[in-house]
Amino acid sequence: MKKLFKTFEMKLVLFTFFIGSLFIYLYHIENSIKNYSLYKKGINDLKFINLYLDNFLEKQDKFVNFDEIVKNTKEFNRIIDDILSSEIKTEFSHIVYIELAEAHGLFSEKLEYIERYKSLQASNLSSIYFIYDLNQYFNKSKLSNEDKVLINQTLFILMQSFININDNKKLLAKNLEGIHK
Amino acid sequence: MFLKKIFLFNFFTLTLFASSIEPIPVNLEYNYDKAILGKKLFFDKRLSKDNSISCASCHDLTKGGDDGLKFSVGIDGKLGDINAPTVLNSVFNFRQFWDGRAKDLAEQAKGPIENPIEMGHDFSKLLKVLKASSYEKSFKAIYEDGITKENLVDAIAEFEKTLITPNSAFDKYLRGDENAISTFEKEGFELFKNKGCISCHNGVNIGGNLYSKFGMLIDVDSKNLGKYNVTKNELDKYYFKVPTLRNISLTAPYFHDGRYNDLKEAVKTMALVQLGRPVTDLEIEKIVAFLKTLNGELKIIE
Repeated sequence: MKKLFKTFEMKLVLFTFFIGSLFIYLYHIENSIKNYSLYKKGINDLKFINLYLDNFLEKQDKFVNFDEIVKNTKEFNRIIDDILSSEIKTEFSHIVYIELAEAHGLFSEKLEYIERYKSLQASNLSSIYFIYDLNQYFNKSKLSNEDKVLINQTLFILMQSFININDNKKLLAKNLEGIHK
Repeated sequence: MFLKKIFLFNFFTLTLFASSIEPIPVNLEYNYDKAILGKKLFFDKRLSKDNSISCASCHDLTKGGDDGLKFSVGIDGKLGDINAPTVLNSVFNFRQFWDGRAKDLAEQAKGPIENPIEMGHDFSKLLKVLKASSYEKSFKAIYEDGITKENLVDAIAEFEKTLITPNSAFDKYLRGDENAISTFEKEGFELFKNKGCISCHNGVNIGGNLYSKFGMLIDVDSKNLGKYNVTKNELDKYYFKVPTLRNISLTAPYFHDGRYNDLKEAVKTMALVQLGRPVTDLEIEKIVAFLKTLNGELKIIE
């Protein structure tokens, strides 16, 4: 047996086995690092997209091409789906996976909110013209000057509220009551 | 006076961003082999239970990508209850179907095949039929796992990606060719922006990127409840995906219930019930003239 281990062939086999194992180990490490970079990039991208979407939700008075929003929401979904369906659970930890799954759930809620916001924003922007037409109509009507001023003031408050200058809901409600009377 | 200033500020904001209609790209990346396979499936009547209906039956590519009917007819002459939307440029839509229930083209393609009033098939049976045909070899050449439900809709979706209509007169105008559309049509575009249509119809598909309530200001008596059918949320009642206006003059009848055949009627109704703004006959003529400039060129892959 001793003789066998001493043979050159046996040494070669052992050496090859050692090198092979080392190679597999390093390959595994390399892959993990590569995946780590991918996950890290993916999660960073998610953060950026989220910031972009938050920014959009603050632009009440700006006309926005919704294609950009769609592109970003789809990209968010794609990235998070990719990460969740990867080996992240086994390669890193259950905790990271669970946190991402929670983020996914929260994003679904946010997406619903974004869709509703898009619809409202579009109709709000369209209403600018409607309010202008309405004001013109009342100005030309045979209403008393007092009523005309009240309507004009009410529409003015609406516009102010729309562009975030002044959100005076109480006065708006009071004026609307006055107009109704 | 201040009201006027605020209005002008808003008006300026809208006008400034109103150039947010983008031309359709001349080419989109797609997988040629998958798209060719998808094309074959798109025109194959075996996808329906009684071999009578193909995707192309309701989405006639020579007629604007829909069937020109109020409601489509499925197997055994069964009548649907919603107007078939155009398949052209549908790749640009943020969701598919009027109520947005499918997230993408592949998910959409699953719907009609198993819908009992459309193609009425069963995927398990359909896959057996296809596996016993020349499709087996074609699928194997592209997909490792051959014919599966997912691969079937993936191929159809890939073909649908190619159904874009670039080079419309309006797209040429957007790219800088001032003479691509007439003065009358340009006035129509100005009205389109100034009346507020652009708030919902923007982006590359001039629509298809948000939901909007049908009958925002005036009730329009819609039997279909739109997105509510999917979410069961009261807030979603009568919300539909805003349709594309690309090739709109070819896709009558209009709206989800195909209530109007005349584009002028559709424009008039939209201005009134969505924007609360009556429009004159001349203004309608101009807007319709502009809408006709949105018809592009379709190249079906060979």
